[in-house]
Amino acid sequence: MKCPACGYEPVKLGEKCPNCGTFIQNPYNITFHELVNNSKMDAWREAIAFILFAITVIIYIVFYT
Amino acid sequence: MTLLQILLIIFGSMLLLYMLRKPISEFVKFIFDNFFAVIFDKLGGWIENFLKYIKNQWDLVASKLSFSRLIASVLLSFLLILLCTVNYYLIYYGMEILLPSEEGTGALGFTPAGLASLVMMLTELLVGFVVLETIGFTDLFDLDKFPKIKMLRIIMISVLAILILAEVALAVYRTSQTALIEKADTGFEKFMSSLSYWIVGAIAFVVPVLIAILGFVLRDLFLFIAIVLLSITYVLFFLLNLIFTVLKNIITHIDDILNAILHILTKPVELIVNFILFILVKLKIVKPIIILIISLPFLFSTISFGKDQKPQPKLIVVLLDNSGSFKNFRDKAIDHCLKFIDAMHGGDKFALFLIESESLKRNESPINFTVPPPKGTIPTIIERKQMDSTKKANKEKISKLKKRELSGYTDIWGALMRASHFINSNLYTKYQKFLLIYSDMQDTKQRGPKLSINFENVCVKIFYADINEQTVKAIEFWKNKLSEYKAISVQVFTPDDSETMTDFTIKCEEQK
Repeated sequence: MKCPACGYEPVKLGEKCPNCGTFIQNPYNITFHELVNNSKMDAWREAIAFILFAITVIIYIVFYT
Repeated sequence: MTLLQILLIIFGSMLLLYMLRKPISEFVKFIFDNFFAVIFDKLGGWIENFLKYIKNQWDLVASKLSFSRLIASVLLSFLLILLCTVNYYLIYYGMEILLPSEEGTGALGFTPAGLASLVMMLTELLVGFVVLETIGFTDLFDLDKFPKIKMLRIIMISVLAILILAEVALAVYRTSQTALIEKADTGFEKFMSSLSYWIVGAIAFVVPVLIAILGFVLRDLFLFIAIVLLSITYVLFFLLNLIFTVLKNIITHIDDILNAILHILTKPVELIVNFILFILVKLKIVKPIIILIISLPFLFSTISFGKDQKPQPKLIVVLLDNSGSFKNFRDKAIDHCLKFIDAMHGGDKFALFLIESESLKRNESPINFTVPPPKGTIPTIIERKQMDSTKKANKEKISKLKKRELSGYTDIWGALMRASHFINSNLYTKYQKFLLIYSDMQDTKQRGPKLSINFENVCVKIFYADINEQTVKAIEFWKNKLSEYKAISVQVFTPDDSETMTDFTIKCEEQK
């Protein structure tokens, strides 16, 4: 992938860019604490909440109406 | 309502709250900041300015009041009260001649003469105080600094002089009335009667003049009363302002309180969501999984649009043996048959014919009904209730067959011919067809196939067929015959098989 700072290619996730030295964050190498406090993930959280809500509603309709 | 149902409702509500927490918070903040806070400011914004005004007035009054002067004024006020009492009786003494003094003719518990005396006495006191103000002896209102105050001073002195002279004249005139002197009944009247004219006149002159001079004590008393009233007002409005400030703080920070409440309420859901997201991130499948799940309903809807949305309805035709040879199994067979009714869906049709001596005779119509079909794919609560009530009513009808008299012969041929004609009617071409036979399959009528029989596209199931050395041949015969009549499948269930059956969802298993 490209370095987001200087555009140098290729750079590896979780390593420094050989051209400009910027550290390339690996988005999958994240702790639970970092994930909880990451507001950029809010949209994903809401998507998961929506899916869980839809599943709950479907279960309720199928079994209790 | 079951516990699981309650838990589902709570979980669903928490998820909904979690999804909507930001818009809810922003909406409430907007409403409270732009509506309630503005209204609240308009309603209570003046309290603080009013408090400042009260405080300034208090400072002004306090600057004029000294403690030593106040103590002196209080002490002198006792003398003033004493003189006022004397003055009241002096005026009353003379006023009795002019006005009636009988009780019950005046107002506020005073006789007309008493009321006039009181007013005159208070007027003398207040006029005296105003005169002192105009000459600058007292500085409560600083009247001496007003322009054209000389005129007011002359008027006030004149009024005071007239009042005093009137009081002197009345007292002296009363003393001259010998007839009244003789009638004197109170101690004060007797004392006044005993005095000479000039002493009475001197007392009636000196007392009001002294009162007018002592009017200066009113300055400090008025200041004291003012400071007490201002203090009470200040304390009351301070408390009101405190309540107002607290309420305003609550209103302007309602979003913080709401956020805290929402955070607490949605914390369990947030943990679950974060945990799922964490697993998806670690598995590096967050995007494909979310896209897949979101697209699932669309995929299902596309598939279902391609097909006929409603499943094919079922036609269940039951032949129930009511002959003496099936006596041992008849009641069990009826109960067994009812379980198929429970498993029926909306739109399914059911018909029950009896195998008796003359099974082909159509003088008795079969017990038949159709389960009301729902309008949508999933039946509503009302539709389900209608379906249940239809099933219940017909189950009761079928149960009553247990009390029906048994027949002497078993006409299986007749029953099959009647069932064949019914099943192949044009009314049921779109149905998935099932023929359920509850019989020992021992035909004693020996009628034979007089009419054509056709079970094409029909699944046949024979229940409670008691297979033994005597019956095995007959059962095998009927099985072959039904296959010859093009039945999709013919399944035979012994009483043991029938009794241990658990799944009553009717299905067709093709013949191997």
